[in-house]
Amino acid sequence: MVTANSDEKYVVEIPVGPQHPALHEPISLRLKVEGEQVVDAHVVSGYNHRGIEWLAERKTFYQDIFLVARTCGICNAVHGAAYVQAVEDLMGIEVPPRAKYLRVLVMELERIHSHMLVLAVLAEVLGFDTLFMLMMRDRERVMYLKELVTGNRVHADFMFIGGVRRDLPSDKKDKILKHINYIEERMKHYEKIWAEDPIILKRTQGVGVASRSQALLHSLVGPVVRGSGVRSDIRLIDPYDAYDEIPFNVVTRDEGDTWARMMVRIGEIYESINMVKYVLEHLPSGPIIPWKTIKAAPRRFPIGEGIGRVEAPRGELLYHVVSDGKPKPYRVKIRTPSLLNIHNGVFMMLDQYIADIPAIFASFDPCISCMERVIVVDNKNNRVLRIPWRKLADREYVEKIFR
Amino acid sequence: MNRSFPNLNDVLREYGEVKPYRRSNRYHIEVDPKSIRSIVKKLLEVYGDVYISTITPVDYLKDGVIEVNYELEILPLNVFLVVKTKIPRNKAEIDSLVDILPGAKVLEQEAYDLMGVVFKGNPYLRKPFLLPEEMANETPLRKDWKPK
Amino acid sequence: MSLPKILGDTLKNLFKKPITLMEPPEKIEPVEDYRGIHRVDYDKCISCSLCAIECPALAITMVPIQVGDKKKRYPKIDYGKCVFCYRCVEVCPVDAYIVSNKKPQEDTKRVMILYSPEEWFKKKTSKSTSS
Repeated sequence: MVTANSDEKYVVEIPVGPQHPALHEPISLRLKVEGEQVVDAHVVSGYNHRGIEWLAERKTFYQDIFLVARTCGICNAVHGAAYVQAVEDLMGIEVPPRAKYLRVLVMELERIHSHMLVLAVLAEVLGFDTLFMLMMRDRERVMYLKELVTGNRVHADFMFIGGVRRDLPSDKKDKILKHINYIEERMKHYEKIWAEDPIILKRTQGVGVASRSQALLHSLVGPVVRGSGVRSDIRLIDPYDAYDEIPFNVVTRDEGDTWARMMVRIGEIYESINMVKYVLEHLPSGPIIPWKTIKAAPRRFPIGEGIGRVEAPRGELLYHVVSDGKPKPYRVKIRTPSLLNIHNGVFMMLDQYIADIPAIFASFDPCISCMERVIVVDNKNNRVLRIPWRKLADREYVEKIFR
Repeated sequence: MNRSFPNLNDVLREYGEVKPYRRSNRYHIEVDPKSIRSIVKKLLEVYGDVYISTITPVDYLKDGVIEVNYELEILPLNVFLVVKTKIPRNKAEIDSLVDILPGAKVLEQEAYDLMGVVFKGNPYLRKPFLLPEEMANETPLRKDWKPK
Repeated sequence: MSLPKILGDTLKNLFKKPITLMEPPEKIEPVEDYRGIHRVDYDKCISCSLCAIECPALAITMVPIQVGDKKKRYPKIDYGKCVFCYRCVEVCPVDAYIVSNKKPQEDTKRVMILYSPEEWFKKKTSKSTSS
């Protein structure tokens, strides 16, 4: 159980999590610390396992579009997009160009608000609550834009097998452009704060470093691996929808620390804003689904398998759909980016200070909290003492057990 | 980036034939389960920047096999390669990749927890990993599993 | 260095009223084509039960109703289960669903979040008898 140096007599295990009101994922971290430094970290997950893969095998292909979108509240449109991409791959459907562009529009809006959320949350973790409030206020405009385009501010339910579910009237374009310009202007302001604020720099630079080869070997994805200087972006290496027609840059940084990951996200917000503008300007005309109406969608599914890969805000999202010719899929495998980043990114926490752990963890995207008890592990006698916090405040008691 | 890399077909010739999927940069290859470690080792040696996207076990109840799909992204070639292996259902064991590709750790843990595939040589396998504690002996993604 | 910048932001916002609305009594107006509460026009409904089959959240059930001398099955919507994806609106072959941008109302009573055909037909029969 204990992997620390055996000449150290005591290693304190601190459970961090699994409940935190600020972020969506309940997850628990077990940190073994020596003094202030982490010597071993390990993730306990499963608090939020809902069995979506199992459920998806028991619903029809069309019902699954809405089920898989409920995997995650923040990146629901990309989940839908990855699933329909896998089913289109299975059925061999060609998506009309207008639908491709509209998909990109919604996914990029989602990337903007997701990145703004994590930038705000990391500011809050660092104790910079003013920045948190300001960024969340401006993020609400992007949520409004999503509501304008898709019909709901959180759950888009925009994707459909073969295309998208609703069209974009031309009178909405000006509204989107107005708000997007405002966001761009505000982001320039926030970028300056992120790049110059002395407290942010001190708390994030050089913290939680992952080198290029480490990040690749641990199969990290998304802004985490791009912050380590790897040009790994599904939009670039396996273009889907309209990404092969829309110009964009892949933002990378070589530092590999928490700050670099956040700057990659800020850079990606600008890229997304430019892509939204490009899509609004170059939106092709035509149908949004390959059939006359959405009611005419085919009810028969061929035997085979399809793979859908999408660059979600947090990294590569992969769907593997296997069909045996029935109206229900035989197997739906979902691999979310956070699974790799949270579990495999733990190595970055070693040798860091406890106070930096929330910042490192939030820079992958989820968040954590502290529980009310600590566990003292006695290395020598191999026993575990459970002590409530109140007892720990009692100096005499502590001195007695550590003697 | 300007280095030229050998063709994927030539590298993997001894294991099987690399067949294209519908998309231009996606390929799949069917191999013997014993050779999975040497394939990944060879890919890492030849191409370097390889990461594992996912491990997808699919349970085929009728044939009595579990198909384990290793989905690898080879960055220098921009190629997505699915390595398919078939292992018997009643003795679902395959070699672990965790010492040569540490990124496979959590994917093997997940596959072990939900499908019951044992990865020999992975010290991190534990049950329950994602499931609740009372389901520690169950593998819900197998087709013969029924909720109680 | 950047302290004055954020300080300016803070000072500006000090004299503004809060962005956060208290709902209720204040109200956030949804956009025109927001996916809100949807109703069924039971006169148009042909009892094909396609919406009940397609509903991903199993929020729609078909209930038997005595209409005149015939007994037919009509959809009943449970808004407690509904995820407002509008799949039922999409698949309906006769477009019997009436859509609105009204947000689902929060209520402690169970009756408020059900929409069943019984009331529709009761109202109709009472209307026809009174007139």
